[in-house]
Amino acid sequence: MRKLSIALNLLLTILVIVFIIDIITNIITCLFNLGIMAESLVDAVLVILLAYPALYIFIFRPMSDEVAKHQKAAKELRRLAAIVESSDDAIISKTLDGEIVTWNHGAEKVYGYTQAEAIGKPISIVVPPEKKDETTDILKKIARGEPFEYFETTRIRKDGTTIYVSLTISPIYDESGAITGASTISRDISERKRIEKVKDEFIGTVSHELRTPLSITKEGICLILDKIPGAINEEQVRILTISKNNIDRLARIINSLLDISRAESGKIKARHEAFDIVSVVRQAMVIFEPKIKEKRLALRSELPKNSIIIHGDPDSITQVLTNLIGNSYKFTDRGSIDISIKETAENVEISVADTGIGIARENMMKLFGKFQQFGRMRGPGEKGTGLGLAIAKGIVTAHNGKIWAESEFGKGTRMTFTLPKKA
Amino acid sequence: MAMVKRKILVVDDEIDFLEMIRLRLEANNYTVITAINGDEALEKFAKEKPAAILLDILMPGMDGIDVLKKIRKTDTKVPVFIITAFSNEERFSVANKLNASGFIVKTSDIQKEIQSITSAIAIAENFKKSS
Repeated sequence: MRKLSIALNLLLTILVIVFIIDIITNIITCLFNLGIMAESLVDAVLVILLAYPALYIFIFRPMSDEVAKHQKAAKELRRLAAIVESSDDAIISKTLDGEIVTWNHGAEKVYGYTQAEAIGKPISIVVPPEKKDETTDILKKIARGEPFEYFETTRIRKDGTTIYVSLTISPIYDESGAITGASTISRDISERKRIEKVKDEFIGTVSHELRTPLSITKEGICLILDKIPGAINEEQVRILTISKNNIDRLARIINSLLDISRAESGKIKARHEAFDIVSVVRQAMVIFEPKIKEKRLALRSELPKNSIIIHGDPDSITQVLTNLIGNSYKFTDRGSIDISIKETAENVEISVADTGIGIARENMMKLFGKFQQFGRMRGPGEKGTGLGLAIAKGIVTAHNGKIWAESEFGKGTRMTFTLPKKA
Repeated sequence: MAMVKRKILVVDDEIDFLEMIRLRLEANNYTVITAINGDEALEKFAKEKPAAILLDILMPGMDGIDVLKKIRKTDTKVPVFIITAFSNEERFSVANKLNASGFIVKTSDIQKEIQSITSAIAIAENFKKSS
């Protein structure tokens, strides 16, 4: 249908052109017959008139289309360049050999080098000597077409100061689809890092400063409860016991805050050793076995017979397991607690499943937040801090793993976390 | 046979903590000498010849590690227990090199810590007698 209309249009245009040419030819012939125009001029005008449609269709129109296309592309380029130039983030492109090709205003601000100083230089001018391999590895990965995720690292400014940056790196393709370079968007996150450090130090110091008066208060109560200064009656014992239990609770909160601060600041990674995850899980189970049996719950496990060696901090992983098994124990009154380890090509997957009270749908999103407690009105027993799963998440994340929950309210919960087998 | 009360030197810049430890140790049949800084600790150590020392690590001025270093120059055997508010592995390893006998973590049950310390002192004394 569309083709037919184009053909008709073309035919009509040609007819109109032929008609116009015919009129002009007649006019010129008249002018010539009347002796107003010379014969040579008449020939020239006739040639131009007859050739114009062909010139228009085959030369003038394609040329003007091409110009319009170029103008549009140039406009788009100027628009993108304006965006790149106005960005506060450093946007840099480089060849696969690491030679800087473009360097925006943001890069000048972040790294201190002007465009003229940076273009043509190797990207290593902003990389600390100890991280040279990092850039080489990145460019190799990009050249292989592997995706590169966001990561944080350090770089050096022209004035020699070290800054923390976040990097997002993508490949640059040419028309044929071949990778010719990489573009990097880097953001100066030094201020955020500084605030994080201050926060960690603050939590650390506050926790430390809180512990001493806490221990003094607790020991004072313990001395009286142990009747060292003299006899006390049953009511006094009862009141002081409540006080002591709550001091213990406060101490647990402080310890948990320190743990979170440690996990979030990545200090857990500092302890990095090879250990057998299967035996760590087995040991954690042994700790809970008597308590779980006492509650008449079944403790079942599905563990591999062989050991699986992974890298990280075994004490922290024990803490994750203690928190998860502890929760299952606390929130399960009937049924079982099942612990399993599954091994995949890249990860170890550890699950703790129970037949307990489960988690309401509206609480699932808040599960890993700080100071979150659900179903805490569960009668006597040690009160929680609401920090257990936040700590677990912090530790698992610090190990480059993932943690998640599946639960059906009233039926039970399954908590799973993964740890990469390779460090 | 009359029990001879053993002397123990407790060093901590927290006076209230010293008082609690003193009460607990006296209840365990110790004579307690206290010091609130490193200099006082060294002076009382030389003068009183205690059977053991409980030593706080974090103190203004001369800290616990420095005190321990100086004590070890004159006495390599006296049991020294390090008091600390929280674990700090680097300091622990220094303390271990200087032959510290153990640690008291301030937040744990002091009563239990003292129990293990008193038995450690008893073992150390028996070892001294038999060697």
